[in-house]
Amino acid sequence: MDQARLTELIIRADAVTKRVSTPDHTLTIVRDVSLQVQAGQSLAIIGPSGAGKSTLLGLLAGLDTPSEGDIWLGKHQITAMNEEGRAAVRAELVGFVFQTFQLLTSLTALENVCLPMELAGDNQARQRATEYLSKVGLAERLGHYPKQLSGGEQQRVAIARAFACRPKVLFADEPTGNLDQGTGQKVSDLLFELNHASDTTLVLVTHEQRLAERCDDIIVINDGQVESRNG
Amino acid sequence: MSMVDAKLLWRDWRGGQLNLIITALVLAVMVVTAVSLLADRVERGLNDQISSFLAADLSLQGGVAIPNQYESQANELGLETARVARFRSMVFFGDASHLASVKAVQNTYPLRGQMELSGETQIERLERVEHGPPAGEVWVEPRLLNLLNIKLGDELEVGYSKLRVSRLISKEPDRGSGFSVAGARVMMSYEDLPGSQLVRPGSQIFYQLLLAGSEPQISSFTQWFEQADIAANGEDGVRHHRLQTPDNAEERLSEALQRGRAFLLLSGTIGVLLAGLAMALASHRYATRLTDQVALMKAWGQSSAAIRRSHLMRLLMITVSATVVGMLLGWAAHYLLLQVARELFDAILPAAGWRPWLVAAITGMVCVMGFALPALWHLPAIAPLRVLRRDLPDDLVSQGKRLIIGIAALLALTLWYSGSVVLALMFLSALFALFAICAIIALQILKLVQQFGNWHGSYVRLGLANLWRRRAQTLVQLVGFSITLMLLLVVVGLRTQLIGEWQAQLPDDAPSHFLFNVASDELEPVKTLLAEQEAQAQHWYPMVRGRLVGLNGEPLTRARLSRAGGLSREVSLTQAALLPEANEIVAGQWWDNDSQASEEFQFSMEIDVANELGVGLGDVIEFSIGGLTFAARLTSLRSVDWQNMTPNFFIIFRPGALDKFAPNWITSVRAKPQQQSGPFVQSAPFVNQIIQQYPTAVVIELGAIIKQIRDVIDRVTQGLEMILLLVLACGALVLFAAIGVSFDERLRENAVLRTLGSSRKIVVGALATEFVALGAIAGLIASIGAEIILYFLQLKVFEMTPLWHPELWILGIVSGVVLITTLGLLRSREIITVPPLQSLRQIA
Ligand SMILES: Nc1ncnc2c1ncn2[C@@H]1O[C@H](COP(=O)(O)OP(=O)(O)O)[C@@H](O)[C@H]1O
Ligand SMILES: [Mg+2]
Repeated sequence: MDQARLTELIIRADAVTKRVSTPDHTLTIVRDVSLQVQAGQSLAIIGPSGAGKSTLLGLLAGLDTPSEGDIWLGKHQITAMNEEGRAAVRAELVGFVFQTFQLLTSLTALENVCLPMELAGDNQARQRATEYLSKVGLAERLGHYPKQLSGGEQQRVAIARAFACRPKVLFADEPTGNLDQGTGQKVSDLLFELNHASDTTLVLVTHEQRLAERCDDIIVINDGQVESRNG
Repeated sequence: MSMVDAKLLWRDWRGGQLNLIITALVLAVMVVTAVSLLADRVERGLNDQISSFLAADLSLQGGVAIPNQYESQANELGLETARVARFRSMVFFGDASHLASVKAVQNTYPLRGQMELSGETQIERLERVEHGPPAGEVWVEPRLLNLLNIKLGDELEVGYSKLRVSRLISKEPDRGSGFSVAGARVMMSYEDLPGSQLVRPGSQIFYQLLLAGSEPQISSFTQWFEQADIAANGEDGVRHHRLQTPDNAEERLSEALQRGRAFLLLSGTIGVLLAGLAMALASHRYATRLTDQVALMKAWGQSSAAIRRSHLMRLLMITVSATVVGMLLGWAAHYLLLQVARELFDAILPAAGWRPWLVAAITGMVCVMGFALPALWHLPAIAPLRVLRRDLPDDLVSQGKRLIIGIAALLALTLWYSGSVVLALMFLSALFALFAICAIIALQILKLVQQFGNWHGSYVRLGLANLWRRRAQTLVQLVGFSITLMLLLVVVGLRTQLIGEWQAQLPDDAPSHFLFNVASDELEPVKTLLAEQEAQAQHWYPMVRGRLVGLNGEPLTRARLSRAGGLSREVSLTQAALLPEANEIVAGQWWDNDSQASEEFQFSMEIDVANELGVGLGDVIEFSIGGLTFAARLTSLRSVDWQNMTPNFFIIFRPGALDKFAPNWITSVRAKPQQQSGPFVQSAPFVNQIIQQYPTAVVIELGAIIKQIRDVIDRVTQGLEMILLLVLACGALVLFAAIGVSFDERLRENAVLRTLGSSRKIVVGALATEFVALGAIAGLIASIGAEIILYFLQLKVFEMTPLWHPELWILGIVSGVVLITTLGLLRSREIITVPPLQSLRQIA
């Protein structure tokens, strides 16, 4: 990879804090987190359950707004935008993979993969969806509904769905969290494989050290704060 | 509309998630379409009738022949005139006879409007004419062809004359297309009236002088009539005639019309209410299912506005297609209803206008906006963060708000259906009161049932506990179902019970025939004839028609007379030496025939009309018969068993009072029962002989009357039942939707039960117990309600001794159990059949 690409920042967070108020007191879930991710790189966010990883992911992806601090996604300062603006940025740049797969049960595998492309007005949706489903090894299962697929297969559909949209940044929240070890291994192999092939930036939340180690950077979060970084 | 919206809609539909919402909408629109098409067409039919109801601008009418004086005055004023006489008479063809509604008209009839005539086949083009039948011919209603098995060109015997059947009447301007339970119309020329000898003293004939002209001509005639009336009836100063304008004809129709409309409004509103309830519940569930989809779409960068637009688009597609389907089905349903009720109408009803369609379309829109939209409203506002945090609360429109919106929608619709704020409010409050009462009763029964479950084993306890635990849903199901079932039971009860009971209350020795309009000179030969045929005539009563004109020297006002409904027009009067059998003296004394008749005339009166009129023993009433007046003293009050089926009279004179009037005679006859041969019951031989030898006499077979009444009731109730079945289908949807609300919960519970080792039998048993109990309670409430409603109907409307209807209770409870258990198990079959592991995964 050339030098110019390496210096292009795609995610930048400056002193981001997220507080939520509960009836009796205010909770700080994310405290003063700063980070940068370069285009094409991968970042793992690890930490124990309840550390604030998902919250941070949501902030970086523009699904939520921080109480303090600024976030840039691509060239956009999403902290200066309203929800409509952030939605437009998400549509342009972002893809997701979730712990619970989040497939729509009334749609077949193919339709699930098609849906985000259809919504974006892509008229090649079917072709691309078929292509990506073959890439994740589900060419034979296009017409199957989620409940006819195993957990690993469902997550592969979700991965196909995420990559088929060709996002600049893929946010994955514990993609192997609901899978057994063997299946999880295969799914994460697939994730990294597609990530390299498509030159996507990957932000991966996990509590598995082994998975994190496959990323370019790792930050460890505990109690909402960055405990350490290495990479 | 974008392709994506269509695709999304198609996928939801394919997944069955829209089934309930769409079905509910289709049903609501269907019920409303059917009901309003029906109402519209019948109303149009009646309106046709009203607008040309008189076939004239004015009608001078009464039970006495119209003096020439009136006609010459009308001619002097330049008015067009036409004389009309209407009466019932037997008409014959060979051995076949029919008690027809005869109308003799002058050739100038109709003065306003047109006659619509046709040839033998209905398909033939209608011919419109503005004159009556020529002398020697009759025009008849098509059904008479079947009744007498005749065809055009045959000669019909009417009284003593033979008239050729030349045309079929499809519409008369002063009859239109209303309901008819009377005999078939036979229209003859006024010129043939004398030859037929149908007009004789004492015959019940309704005379009209139709008048038409300009407004000033009409009003000067009216003025002249008001003043000249007394001169015209000089002898007794009593009006035998009155003027009828098209306006007061309308009054007479409106009551029946309003009752019909109220019923249709009631069923339409209940249908919409239930369908709306089902739709709200189903939409709630649909919204829950859409939540994840919306959150995902928002995470992918769809704006709220885009999502809102997409949802509205999809709802619009649903609304439009469901409304169109509902309208088509509604049209089919109304068509079926009309087929059932066809015989009740004289002619084809006019086509419906655009309003029913508009009503249906608006109903569809309002249902969606009032019941479905509130449940879906929060969706576009769902936070995209929900994809990560599924525990984020949804900003649902609160239940209270949704209830208010739903009620407002219903109120708006009712208001629009009824066109009256007061009526709509009364209606809805009555409906909600009914719902509330049902709910309270249901809750009490549920409590009892739940306690009953406590000392029962495994699945019975489980099922009953479930009912109680989800009592809000249970109540919704119970109330929705039991109210529709209740209405249905009332109609079934009306049909089967009332007729049956009425027949059962007939005495065993009830007469088989009534014989009336027998002239004095025919009396002896008729008696002989009957005796020869072994037909026992009961007592013969002489009958004359007259009216009450004065009380204790003061004139009796029409207002006062109309308080006693039976006396307001001409009354049948008789005289008798002995108290008739079904009568009982309650005050005063029946005359002692041996004692010397006093100077003054005496009479006895039926107690109810006496009370209504406000007269008592000793009062002197003045009567007017055929222009002569005389006074008589009231010496006894009688109670009459009207169900006794013998000739009964409000007023009976002591023999002597009526001697100077030419009476005709009436009696009831008991003949040996006749064999049924083929589709027709053979008439007793004496019937044919009498009607052939004495054509002006009228014989009525009791069996035929009962059959006619039963036919009419059958058809009306069948129509009502069909409408109510549609409403019941809406109730079934509520059941479905309510099960849907707790579906995921049930799925999980049963999966847990199964994984914990409960056998499938227990799961099925508990579910079955739940539905059986639900059905039984719904049936019970429906039966209680129906019994109460029937009690009052019997007492107040039908004036019979109220009876219990155990069959209805059985029918109610059994149909409740069968319907609810079948539908319930059908809806929950997935809960039972899905293996526990899969159901746990599905919910995860
Ligand atoms: N909106 C919120 N309101 C209240 N508590 C929240 C909210 N968002 C997150 N939390 C809490 O903050 C903590 C961190 O949550 P999360 O980011 O999901 O942790 P992780 O993904 O690392 O397990 C949890 O204890 C969670 O309950
Ligand atoms: Mg998390």
